[in-house]
Amino acid sequence: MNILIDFQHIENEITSFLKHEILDPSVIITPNDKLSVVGLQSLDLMELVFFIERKYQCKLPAELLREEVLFSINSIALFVSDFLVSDLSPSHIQAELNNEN
Amino acid sequence: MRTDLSGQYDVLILGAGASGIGAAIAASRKGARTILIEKYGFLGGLACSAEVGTICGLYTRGSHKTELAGNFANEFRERLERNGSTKMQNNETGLAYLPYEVYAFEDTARTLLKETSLDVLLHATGISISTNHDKASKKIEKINIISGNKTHVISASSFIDASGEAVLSKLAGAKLISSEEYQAPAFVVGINNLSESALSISEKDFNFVLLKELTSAENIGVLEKGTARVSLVPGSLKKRRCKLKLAYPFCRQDSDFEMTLIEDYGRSAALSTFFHLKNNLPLFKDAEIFSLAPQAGIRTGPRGKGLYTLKKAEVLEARKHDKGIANGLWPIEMWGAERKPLLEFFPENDYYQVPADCLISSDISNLFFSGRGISADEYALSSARVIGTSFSTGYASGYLAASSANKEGIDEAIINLRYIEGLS
Repeated sequence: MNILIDFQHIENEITSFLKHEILDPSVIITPNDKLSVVGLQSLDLMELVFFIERKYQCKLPAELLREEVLFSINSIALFVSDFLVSDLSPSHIQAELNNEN
Repeated sequence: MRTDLSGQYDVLILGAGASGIGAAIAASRKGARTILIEKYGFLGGLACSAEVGTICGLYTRGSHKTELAGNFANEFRERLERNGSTKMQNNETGLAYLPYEVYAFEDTARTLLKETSLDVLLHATGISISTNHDKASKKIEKINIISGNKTHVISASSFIDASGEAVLSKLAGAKLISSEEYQAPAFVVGINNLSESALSISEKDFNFVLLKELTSAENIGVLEKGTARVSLVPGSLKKRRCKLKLAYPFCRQDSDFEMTLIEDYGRSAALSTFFHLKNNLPLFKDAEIFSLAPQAGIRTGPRGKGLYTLKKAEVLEARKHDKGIANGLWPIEMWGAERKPLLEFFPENDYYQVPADCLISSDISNLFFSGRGISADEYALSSARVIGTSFSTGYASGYLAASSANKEGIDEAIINLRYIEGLS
Protein backbone atom coordinates (compact mmCIF):
# COMPACT_ATOMS: atom_id res chain seq x y z
CA MET A 1 0.00 0.00 0.00
CA ASN A 2 1.41 3.36 -0.95
CA ILE A 3 -0.89 6.20 -0.15
CA LEU A 4 1.65 8.11 1.90
CA ILE A 5 2.13 11.59 0.52
CA ASP A 6 5.88 11.93 0.22
CA PHE A 7 6.76 15.61 0.63
CA GLN A 8 10.32 15.11 -0.52
CA HIS A 9 9.13 13.33 -3.64
CA ILE A 10 6.88 16.24 -4.52
CA GLU A 11 9.65 18.77 -3.95
CA ASN A 12 12.02 16.74 -6.15
CA GLU A 13 9.44 16.42 -8.93
CA ILE A 14 8.78 20.15 -8.95
CA THR A 15 12.49 20.96 -9.00
CA SER A 16 13.08 18.51 -11.82
CA PHE A 17 10.20 19.89 -13.89
CA LEU A 18 11.39 23.47 -13.49
CA LYS A 19 14.97 22.57 -14.35
CA HIS A 20 14.10 20.54 -17.44
CA GLU A 21 11.04 22.30 -18.80
CA ILE A 22 11.06 25.92 -17.72
CA LEU A 23 14.38 27.30 -16.60
CA ASP A 24 17.53 27.91 -18.56
CA PRO A 25 19.99 25.03 -17.89
CA SER A 26 22.48 27.46 -16.38
CA VAL A 27 20.07 28.54 -13.63
CA ILE A 28 20.63 26.95 -10.25
CA ILE A 29 17.60 26.74 -8.03
CA THR A 30 17.09 25.53 -4.46
CA PRO A 31 13.79 24.77 -2.69
CA ASN A 32 13.68 28.06 -0.80
CA ASP A 33 14.58 30.42 -3.64
CA LYS A 34 11.94 33.02 -4.51
CA LEU A 35 10.64 31.84 -7.89
CA SER A 36 9.94 35.32 -9.26
CA VAL A 37 13.59 36.22 -8.74
CA VAL A 38 14.78 33.36 -10.98
CA GLY A 39 12.51 34.74 -13.69
CA LEU A 40 9.38 32.61 -13.44
CA GLN A 41 6.33 34.33 -14.91
CA SER A 42 2.61 33.54 -14.52
CA LEU A 43 2.57 31.33 -17.59
CA ASP A 44 5.50 29.28 -16.23
CA LEU A 45 3.77 28.84 -12.86
CA MET A 46 0.61 27.80 -14.67
CA GLU A 47 2.54 25.10 -16.58
CA LEU A 48 3.99 23.91 -13.28
CA VAL A 49 0.52 23.68 -11.72
CA PHE A 50 -0.74 21.68 -14.72
CA PHE A 51 2.26 19.35 -14.39
CA ILE A 52 1.51 18.75 -10.69
CA GLU A 53 -2.19 18.10 -11.48
CA ARG A 54 -1.26 15.51 -14.14
CA LYS A 55 1.42 13.91 -11.97
CA TYR A 56 -0.69 13.56 -8.84
CA GLN A 57 -4.07 13.14 -10.55
CA CYS A 58 -5.67 16.05 -8.75
CA LYS A 59 -7.24 19.46 -9.46
CA LEU A 60 -5.70 22.26 -7.43
CA PRO A 61 -8.30 24.96 -6.73
CA ALA A 62 -7.11 28.09 -8.53
CA GLU A 63 -8.35 30.38 -5.77
CA LEU A 64 -6.01 28.77 -3.26
CA LEU A 65 -2.93 29.31 -5.44
CA ARG A 66 -2.00 32.61 -3.85
CA GLU A 67 1.31 34.41 -4.19
CA GLU A 68 2.52 33.06 -0.84
CA VAL A 69 1.82 29.49 -1.99
CA LEU A 70 3.58 29.94 -5.34
CA PHE A 71 6.49 31.63 -3.61
CA SER A 72 9.11 28.83 -3.75
CA ILE A 73 9.45 25.15 -4.59
CA ASN A 74 9.21 24.42 -0.87
CA SER A 75 6.00 26.41 -0.34
CA ILE A 76 4.37 24.79 -3.39
CA ALA A 77 5.37 21.31 -2.24
CA LEU A 78 3.96 21.99 1.23
CA PHE A 79 0.67 23.17 -0.25
CA VAL A 80 0.41 20.20 -2.60
CA SER A 81 1.18 17.61 0.09
CA ASP A 82 -1.37 19.19 2.47
CA PHE A 83 -3.92 19.29 -0.31
CA LEU A 84 -3.39 15.66 -1.32
CA VAL A 85 -3.77 14.49 2.25
CA SER A 86 -7.01 16.40 2.73
CA ASP A 87 -8.20 15.19 -0.67
CA LEU A 88 -8.12 11.56 0.55
CA SER A 89 -11.75 10.62 1.13
CA PRO A 90 -12.64 7.07 2.39
CA SER A 91 -13.75 6.13 -1.15
CA HIS A 92 -10.48 7.36 -2.52
CA ILE A 93 -8.56 5.21 -0.04
CA GLN A 94 -10.74 2.19 -0.89
CA ALA A 95 -10.03 2.71 -4.60
CA GLU A 96 -6.28 2.79 -3.87
CA LEU A 97 -6.58 -0.40 -1.84
CA ASN A 98 -8.52 -2.05 -4.67
CA ASN A 99 -5.78 -1.10 -7.13
CA GLU A 100 -3.11 -2.53 -4.91
CA ASN A 101 -4.91 -5.91 -4.69
CA MET B 1 -22.03 74.21 -23.84
CA ARG B 2 -24.16 76.41 -26.08
CA THR B 3 -24.29 75.57 -29.75
CA ASP B 4 -24.69 78.32 -32.32
CA LEU B 5 -23.46 76.93 -35.60
CA SER B 6 -23.64 80.01 -37.79
CA GLY B 7 -20.73 81.93 -39.10
CA GLN B 8 -17.11 80.93 -39.41
CA TYR B 9 -15.37 78.94 -36.73
CA ASP B 10 -11.64 79.27 -36.23
CA VAL B 11 -11.18 75.63 -35.23
CA LEU B 12 -13.41 72.58 -35.79
CA ILE B 13 -12.49 69.35 -34.00
CA LEU B 14 -13.99 66.01 -35.04
CA GLY B 15 -13.95 63.65 -32.05
CA ALA B 16 -14.22 64.32 -28.31
CA GLY B 17 -11.91 61.58 -27.07
CA ALA B 18 -8.88 62.37 -24.93
CA SER B 19 -7.09 64.17 -27.76
CA GLY B 20 -10.20 66.03 -28.96
CA ILE B 21 -10.79 67.26 -25.44
CA GLY B 22 -7.19 68.49 -25.22
CA ALA B 23 -7.49 70.18 -28.60
CA ALA B 24 -10.77 71.87 -27.67
CA ILE B 25 -9.37 73.24 -24.43
CA ALA B 26 -6.17 74.50 -26.09
CA ALA B 27 -7.93 76.19 -29.00
CA SER B 28 -10.59 77.72 -26.83
CA ARG B 29 -8.17 79.02 -24.19
CA LYS B 30 -6.12 80.56 -26.97
CA GLY B 31 -9.17 82.59 -27.94
CA ALA B 32 -10.21 80.68 -31.05
CA ARG B 33 -13.92 80.29 -31.83
CA THR B 34 -14.02 76.50 -31.45
CA ILE B 35 -16.52 73.71 -32.05
CA LEU B 36 -16.16 70.11 -30.91
CA ILE B 37 -18.15 67.44 -32.77
CA GLU B 38 -18.72 63.99 -31.24
CA LYS B 39 -20.55 60.93 -32.61
CA TYR B 40 -21.55 59.50 -29.23
CA GLY B 41 -23.76 61.10 -26.60
CA PHE B 42 -20.87 61.34 -24.17
CA LEU B 43 -17.33 62.67 -24.08
CA GLY B 44 -14.14 60.69 -23.62
CA GLY B 45 -13.94 58.59 -26.78
CA LEU B 46 -12.61 55.09 -26.19
CA ALA B 47 -11.61 55.99 -22.63
CA CYS B 48 -15.34 55.87 -21.92
CA SER B 49 -16.93 53.86 -24.76
CA ALA B 50 -14.40 51.02 -24.55
CA GLU B 51 -13.96 51.45 -20.77
CA VAL B 52 -10.17 51.28 -21.03
CA GLY B 53 -10.03 51.87 -17.28
CA THR B 54 -6.46 53.17 -16.87
CA ILE B 55 -4.68 56.26 -18.15
CA CYS B 56 -1.16 55.38 -19.32
CA GLY B 57 1.53 57.86 -20.25
CA LEU B 58 1.20 60.18 -17.25
CA TYR B 59 4.28 58.96 -15.37
CA THR B 60 7.82 58.05 -16.32
CA ARG B 61 8.87 54.46 -15.83
CA GLY B 62 11.00 54.21 -12.72
CA SER B 63 10.55 57.11 -10.36
CA HIS B 64 7.11 58.03 -11.76
CA LYS B 65 7.76 61.71 -12.47
CA THR B 66 4.58 63.46 -13.57
CA GLU B 67 5.94 66.82 -14.66
CA LEU B 68 7.18 65.34 -17.93
CA ALA B 69 3.67 64.44 -19.12
CA GLY B 70 2.79 68.01 -20.11
CA ASN B 71 0.77 70.65 -18.25
CA PHE B 72 -2.62 69.84 -19.74
CA ALA B 73 -2.32 66.11 -19.09
CA ASN B 74 -1.35 66.94 -15.52
CA GLU B 75 -4.25 69.33 -15.14
CA PHE B 76 -6.65 66.56 -16.21
CA ARG B 77 -4.90 64.06 -13.95
CA GLU B 78 -5.17 66.29 -10.87
CA ARG B 79 -8.86 66.95 -11.48
CA LEU B 80 -9.60 63.28 -12.05
CA GLU B 81 -7.69 62.28 -8.91
CA ARG B 82 -9.97 64.59 -6.91
CA ASN B 83 -13.26 63.91 -8.78
CA GLY B 84 -12.77 60.21 -9.05
CA SER B 85 -10.94 59.52 -5.79
CA THR B 86 -8.21 57.71 -7.61
CA LYS B 87 -4.44 57.57 -7.46
CA MET B 88 -1.48 56.19 -9.30
CA GLN B 89 -0.93 52.44 -9.36
CA ASN B 90 2.18 50.67 -10.60
CA ASN B 91 3.16 47.18 -11.63
CA GLU B 92 6.20 44.96 -11.33
CA THR B 93 7.95 46.37 -14.40
CA GLY B 94 7.92 49.89 -12.93
CA LEU B 95 5.15 51.11 -15.23
CA ALA B 96 2.62 53.41 -13.59
CA TYR B 97 -0.93 54.34 -14.63
CA LEU B 98 -4.01 55.99 -13.21
CA PRO B 99 -7.13 53.82 -12.85
CA TYR B 100 -10.41 55.69 -13.32
CA GLU B 101 -14.15 55.22 -13.29
CA VAL B 102 -15.75 56.00 -16.65
CA TYR B 103 -18.30 58.43 -15.18
CA ALA B 104 -15.52 60.40 -13.44
CA PHE B 105 -13.45 60.68 -16.63
CA GLU B 106 -16.43 61.95 -18.59
CA ASP B 107 -17.41 64.35 -15.83
CA THR B 108 -13.88 65.76 -15.60
CA ALA B 109 -13.88 66.37 -19.35
CA ARG B 110 -17.32 67.94 -19.26
CA THR B 111 -16.38 70.30 -16.43
CA LEU B 112 -13.22 71.44 -18.20
CA LEU B 113 -15.07 72.08 -21.45
CA LYS B 114 -17.82 74.03 -19.71
CA GLU B 115 -15.24 76.38 -18.24
CA THR B 116 -14.52 77.59 -21.77
CA SER B 117 -16.82 79.16 -24.30
CA LEU B 118 -16.49 76.52 -26.98
CA ASP B 119 -19.45 74.90 -28.75
CA VAL B 120 -20.09 71.17 -28.47
CA LEU B 121 -22.31 69.05 -30.70
CA LEU B 122 -22.98 65.49 -29.51
CA HIS B 123 -24.60 62.66 -31.50
CA ALA B 124 -23.10 64.25 -34.60
CA THR B 125 -20.78 63.00 -37.31
CA GLY B 126 -19.21 64.30 -40.49
CA ILE B 127 -20.60 63.04 -43.79
CA SER B 128 -18.79 65.12 -46.41
CA ILE B 129 -16.49 68.08 -46.78
CA SER B 130 -15.76 70.73 -49.35
CA THR B 131 -12.36 72.10 -50.19
CA ASN B 132 -10.97 75.16 -51.93
CA HIS B 133 -10.12 73.09 -55.03
CA ASP B 134 -6.60 74.53 -55.05
CA LYS B 135 -4.29 71.61 -55.75
CA ALA B 136 -1.19 73.59 -54.84
CA SER B 137 -2.51 74.61 -51.45
CA LYS B 138 -5.47 72.39 -50.64
CA LYS B 139 -7.61 73.42 -47.69
CA ILE B 140 -10.83 72.15 -46.18
CA GLU B 141 -13.46 74.87 -46.17
CA LYS B 142 -16.64 73.32 -44.85
CA ILE B 143 -17.93 70.11 -43.36
CA ASN B 144 -21.43 68.64 -43.60
CA ILE B 145 -22.45 67.29 -40.23
CA ILE B 146 -25.45 65.07 -39.53
CA SER B 147 -26.98 65.11 -36.08
CA GLY B 148 -30.20 63.18 -35.60
CA ASN B 149 -32.30 64.12 -38.62
CA LYS B 150 -30.68 67.51 -39.10
CA THR B 151 -27.73 68.39 -41.27
CA HIS B 152 -25.51 71.38 -40.75
CA VAL B 153 -22.85 72.95 -42.91
CA ILE B 154 -20.08 74.33 -40.74
CA SER B 155 -17.21 76.50 -41.95
CA ALA B 156 -13.88 76.71 -40.19
CA SER B 157 -10.37 77.95 -40.80
CA SER B 158 -8.60 74.97 -39.20
CA PHE B 159 -9.77 71.38 -38.85
CA ILE B 160 -8.53 68.75 -36.40
CA ASP B 161 -9.06 65.04 -37.03
CA ALA B 162 -9.40 63.72 -33.49
CA SER B 163 -11.66 60.86 -34.64
CA GLY B 164 -9.05 58.17 -34.10
CA GLU B 165 -10.12 56.55 -37.37
CA ALA B 166 -8.99 59.21 -39.88
CA VAL B 167 -12.66 60.04 -40.54
CA LEU B 168 -12.02 63.69 -41.38
CA SER B 169 -8.82 62.88 -43.27
CA LYS B 170 -10.62 60.31 -45.43
CA LEU B 171 -13.51 62.69 -46.16
CA ALA B 172 -10.96 65.28 -47.24
CA GLY B 173 -9.05 62.85 -49.44
CA ALA B 174 -5.87 63.45 -47.44
CA LYS B 175 -2.89 61.12 -47.69
CA LEU B 176 -3.18 58.32 -45.15
CA ILE B 177 -1.01 55.78 -43.38
CA SER B 178 -2.84 52.49 -43.57
CA SER B 179 -2.11 48.78 -43.62
CA GLU B 180 -3.90 45.46 -44.04
CA GLU B 181 -3.62 44.71 -40.37
CA TYR B 182 -3.65 46.72 -37.14
CA GLN B 183 -3.23 45.78 -33.52
CA ALA B 184 -5.53 43.34 -31.77
CA PRO B 185 -8.55 44.84 -30.00
CA ALA B 186 -9.82 44.21 -26.45
CA PHE B 187 -13.23 44.00 -24.78
CA VAL B 188 -14.24 45.00 -21.25
CA VAL B 189 -16.96 43.37 -19.19
CA GLY B 190 -18.11 44.48 -15.73
CA ILE B 191 -18.89 41.80 -13.13
CA ASN B 192 -20.28 42.18 -9.65
CA ASN B 193 -21.40 40.06 -6.72
CA LEU B 194 -18.15 38.13 -6.57
CA SER B 195 -17.78 35.92 -3.49
CA GLU B 196 -16.37 37.06 -0.14
CA SER B 197 -12.87 35.95 -1.13
CA ALA B 198 -12.79 38.86 -3.60
CA LEU B 199 -12.35 41.12 -0.58
CA SER B 200 -8.98 39.63 0.27
CA ILE B 201 -7.45 38.56 -3.02
CA SER B 202 -4.69 40.57 -4.71
CA GLU B 203 -4.90 41.59 -8.39
CA LYS B 204 -1.97 39.31 -9.16
CA ASP B 205 -3.63 36.29 -7.55
CA PHE B 206 -6.95 37.13 -9.21
CA ASN B 207 -5.23 37.17 -12.60
CA PHE B 208 -3.63 33.81 -11.88
CA VAL B 209 -7.02 32.33 -11.04
CA LEU B 210 -8.35 33.51 -14.41
CA LEU B 211 -5.27 32.30 -16.28
CA LYS B 212 -5.31 28.82 -14.78
CA GLU B 213 -9.03 28.20 -15.07
CA LEU B 214 -9.46 29.54 -18.59
CA THR B 215 -6.33 27.84 -19.93
CA SER B 216 -7.55 24.51 -18.48
CA ALA B 217 -10.87 25.08 -20.22
CA GLU B 218 -9.11 25.87 -23.51
CA ASN B 219 -6.90 22.78 -23.18
CA ILE B 220 -9.84 20.42 -22.79
CA GLY B 221 -11.83 22.16 -25.51
CA VAL B 222 -14.61 23.56 -23.33
CA LEU B 223 -13.68 27.09 -24.41
CA GLU B 224 -12.34 28.17 -27.80
CA LYS B 225 -8.64 28.64 -28.29
CA GLY B 226 -7.60 32.18 -27.58
CA THR B 227 -10.19 32.69 -24.87
CA ALA B 228 -7.74 32.48 -21.97
CA ARG B 229 -6.45 36.01 -22.37
CA VAL B 230 -8.48 37.65 -19.67
CA SER B 231 -7.17 39.91 -16.93
CA LEU B 232 -8.44 42.38 -14.40
CA VAL B 233 -8.56 45.98 -15.49
CA PRO B 234 -6.01 47.33 -12.96
CA GLY B 235 -7.67 49.22 -10.14
CA SER B 236 -11.13 47.89 -10.99
CA LEU B 237 -11.34 45.24 -8.25
CA LYS B 238 -13.39 47.10 -5.65
CA LYS B 239 -15.24 45.26 -2.91
CA ARG B 240 -17.05 42.50 -4.81
CA ARG B 241 -17.02 44.13 -8.22
CA CYS B 242 -14.47 44.13 -11.02
CA LYS B 243 -13.93 44.73 -14.71
CA LEU B 244 -12.27 42.13 -16.89
CA LYS B 245 -10.48 42.84 -20.13
CA LEU B 246 -10.50 40.20 -22.87
CA ALA B 247 -7.60 40.39 -25.32
CA TYR B 248 -8.60 39.28 -28.83
CA PRO B 249 -6.63 36.37 -30.34
CA PHE B 250 -6.57 38.06 -33.75
CA CYS B 251 -5.50 41.41 -35.19
CA ARG B 252 -7.86 43.99 -36.57
CA GLN B 253 -8.05 43.71 -40.35
CA ASP B 254 -8.74 46.62 -42.66
CA SER B 255 -12.03 45.50 -44.20
CA ASP B 256 -15.57 46.82 -44.55
CA PHE B 257 -17.23 44.54 -42.01
CA GLU B 258 -14.37 44.44 -39.57
CA MET B 259 -15.97 46.51 -36.79
CA THR B 260 -19.12 44.39 -36.91
CA LEU B 261 -17.07 41.19 -36.61
CA ILE B 262 -15.01 42.68 -33.80
CA GLU B 263 -18.07 43.69 -31.79
CA ASP B 264 -19.74 40.31 -32.36
CA TYR B 265 -16.64 38.41 -31.21
CA GLY B 266 -16.09 40.56 -28.14
CA ARG B 267 -19.63 40.36 -26.85
CA SER B 268 -19.96 36.60 -27.48
CA ALA B 269 -16.57 35.85 -25.93
CA ALA B 270 -17.32 38.01 -22.89
CA LEU B 271 -20.50 36.06 -22.19
CA SER B 272 -19.11 32.57 -22.78
CA THR B 273 -16.06 33.37 -20.67
CA PHE B 274 -18.19 34.80 -17.88
CA PHE B 275 -20.54 31.82 -17.76
CA HIS B 276 -17.64 29.41 -17.70
CA LEU B 277 -16.13 31.26 -14.73
CA LYS B 278 -19.51 31.34 -12.98
CA ASN B 279 -20.03 27.62 -13.42
CA ASN B 280 -16.54 26.59 -12.38
CA LEU B 281 -15.06 28.95 -9.83
CA PRO B 282 -16.35 29.60 -6.29
CA LEU B 283 -15.17 33.21 -6.70
CA PHE B 284 -17.78 33.72 -9.46
CA LYS B 285 -20.52 31.43 -8.14
CA ASP B 286 -23.11 34.18 -7.57
CA ALA B 287 -21.58 36.77 -9.88
CA GLU B 288 -23.52 38.80 -12.45
CA ILE B 289 -22.56 40.89 -15.46
CA PHE B 290 -23.43 44.52 -14.85
CA SER B 291 -21.96 45.97 -18.03
CA LEU B 292 -20.57 45.23 -21.45
CA ALA B 293 -18.56 48.16 -22.84
CA PRO B 294 -20.50 50.22 -25.40
CA GLN B 295 -17.80 49.41 -27.90
CA ALA B 296 -14.79 47.16 -28.38
CA GLY B 297 -11.44 48.72 -27.61
CA ILE B 298 -9.62 49.51 -30.84
CA ARG B 299 -5.94 50.31 -30.48
CA THR B 300 -4.75 51.44 -33.90
CA GLY B 301 -6.20 52.01 -37.33
CA PRO B 302 -5.76 54.24 -40.38
CA ARG B 303 -4.43 57.74 -39.72
CA GLY B 304 -3.36 60.81 -41.66
CA LYS B 305 0.08 61.13 -43.17
CA GLY B 306 1.86 64.10 -41.66
CA LEU B 307 4.72 66.30 -42.76
CA TYR B 308 6.71 63.87 -40.60
CA THR B 309 6.09 60.31 -39.39
CA LEU B 310 7.26 59.30 -35.92
CA LYS B 311 9.33 56.10 -36.01
CA LYS B 312 9.97 53.19 -33.69
CA ALA B 313 13.70 53.99 -33.39
CA GLU B 314 12.98 57.49 -32.12
CA VAL B 315 10.78 56.15 -29.36
CA LEU B 316 13.32 53.55 -28.25
CA GLU B 317 16.17 56.08 -28.35
CA ALA B 318 14.10 58.53 -26.26
CA ARG B 319 14.81 61.14 -28.92
CA LYS B 320 14.07 64.80 -28.25
CA HIS B 321 13.20 67.39 -30.93
CA ASP B 322 13.58 71.18 -31.06
CA LYS B 323 10.02 71.23 -32.34
CA GLY B 324 8.80 68.53 -29.99
CA ILE B 325 5.29 69.41 -28.81
CA ALA B 326 4.40 66.40 -26.64
CA ASN B 327 6.38 64.02 -24.44
CA GLY B 328 5.80 60.29 -24.73
CA LEU B 329 6.33 58.37 -21.49
CA TRP B 330 4.84 54.95 -22.30
CA PRO B 331 6.80 52.06 -23.84
CA ILE B 332 6.06 50.41 -27.16
CA GLU B 333 3.18 48.04 -26.45
CA MET B 334 2.21 45.96 -29.46
CA TRP B 335 -0.86 43.76 -29.21
CA GLY B 336 -0.85 41.05 -31.84
CA ALA B 337 -2.43 37.64 -32.07
CA GLU B 338 -0.05 36.24 -29.42
CA ARG B 339 -1.04 35.71 -25.85
CA LYS B 340 0.94 38.62 -24.43
CA PRO B 341 1.76 42.03 -25.89
CA LEU B 342 5.27 42.86 -27.02
CA LEU B 343 6.73 45.50 -24.73
CA GLU B 344 9.86 47.43 -25.70
CA PHE B 345 11.22 49.99 -23.27
CA PHE B 346 13.33 53.10 -23.55
CA PRO B 347 15.52 53.90 -20.49
CA GLU B 348 13.89 54.51 -17.11
CA ASN B 349 12.96 58.08 -16.19
CA ASP B 350 13.36 59.09 -19.83
CA TYR B 351 10.91 60.10 -22.56
CA TYR B 352 10.74 60.77 -26.30
CA GLN B 353 9.14 63.74 -28.05
CA VAL B 354 6.56 63.97 -30.82
CA PRO B 355 7.58 66.61 -33.36
CA ALA B 356 4.97 69.16 -34.47
CA ASP B 357 5.12 67.92 -38.07
CA CYS B 358 3.49 64.63 -37.01
CA LEU B 359 0.34 66.62 -36.28
CA ILE B 360 0.11 68.48 -39.59
CA SER B 361 -1.23 66.89 -42.78
CA SER B 362 1.34 66.47 -45.55
CA ASP B 363 -1.09 67.62 -48.23
CA ILE B 364 -3.89 69.65 -46.65
CA SER B 365 -2.50 72.77 -45.04
CA ASN B 366 -5.32 73.41 -42.53
CA LEU B 367 -5.77 69.77 -41.41
CA PHE B 368 -4.26 68.67 -38.09
CA PHE B 369 -4.07 65.29 -36.35
CA SER B 370 -4.06 64.22 -32.72
CA GLY B 371 -4.22 61.24 -30.38
CA ARG B 372 -4.08 57.85 -32.06
CA GLY B 373 -4.47 59.66 -35.38
CA ILE B 374 -1.01 61.25 -35.42
CA SER B 375 1.43 60.43 -38.18
CA ALA B 376 3.47 57.57 -36.72
CA ASP B 377 4.54 54.06 -37.69
CA GLU B 378 2.68 51.18 -36.04
CA TYR B 379 5.32 50.67 -33.34
CA ALA B 380 5.67 54.34 -32.41
CA LEU B 381 1.89 54.67 -32.41
CA SER B 382 1.56 51.72 -30.03
CA SER B 383 3.24 54.01 -27.50
CA ALA B 384 1.91 57.42 -28.51
CA ARG B 385 -1.75 56.34 -28.69
CA VAL B 386 -2.16 56.02 -24.91
CA ILE B 387 -4.60 58.38 -23.22
CA GLY B 388 -1.97 60.43 -21.37
CA THR B 389 -0.01 61.15 -24.53
CA SER B 390 -3.22 61.75 -26.47
CA PHE B 391 -4.07 64.57 -24.06
CA SER B 392 -0.75 66.18 -24.98
CA THR B 393 -0.87 65.69 -28.75
CA GLY B 394 -4.49 66.84 -28.60
CA TYR B 395 -3.59 70.00 -26.72
CA ALA B 396 -0.76 70.65 -29.17
CA SER B 397 -3.00 70.19 -32.23
CA GLY B 398 -5.57 72.58 -30.77
CA TYR B 399 -2.96 75.22 -30.09
CA LEU B 400 -1.36 74.90 -33.53
CA ALA B 401 -4.74 74.88 -35.27
CA ALA B 402 -5.82 78.01 -33.40
CA SER B 403 -2.52 79.73 -34.24
CA SER B 404 -2.93 78.81 -37.88
CA ALA B 405 -6.50 80.14 -37.95
CA ASN B 406 -5.15 83.38 -36.50
CA LYS B 407 -2.49 83.50 -39.22
CA GLU B 408 0.36 83.25 -36.72
CA GLY B 409 3.68 81.78 -37.80
CA ILE B 410 4.07 78.09 -37.04
CA ASP B 411 7.56 78.39 -35.57
CA GLU B 412 6.51 81.01 -33.06
CA ALA B 413 3.40 78.98 -32.23
CA ILE B 414 5.59 75.95 -31.47
CA ILE B 415 7.82 77.98 -29.17
CA ASN B 416 4.80 79.33 -27.28
CA LEU B 417 3.18 75.90 -27.08
CA ARG B 418 6.34 74.31 -25.68
CA TYR B 419 6.43 77.00 -23.01
CA ILE B 420 2.76 76.62 -22.08
CA GLU B 421 3.02 72.84 -21.86
CA GLY B 422 6.22 72.98 -19.83
CA LEU B 423 8.31 71.24 -22.46
CA SER B 424 11.11 73.76 -22.84
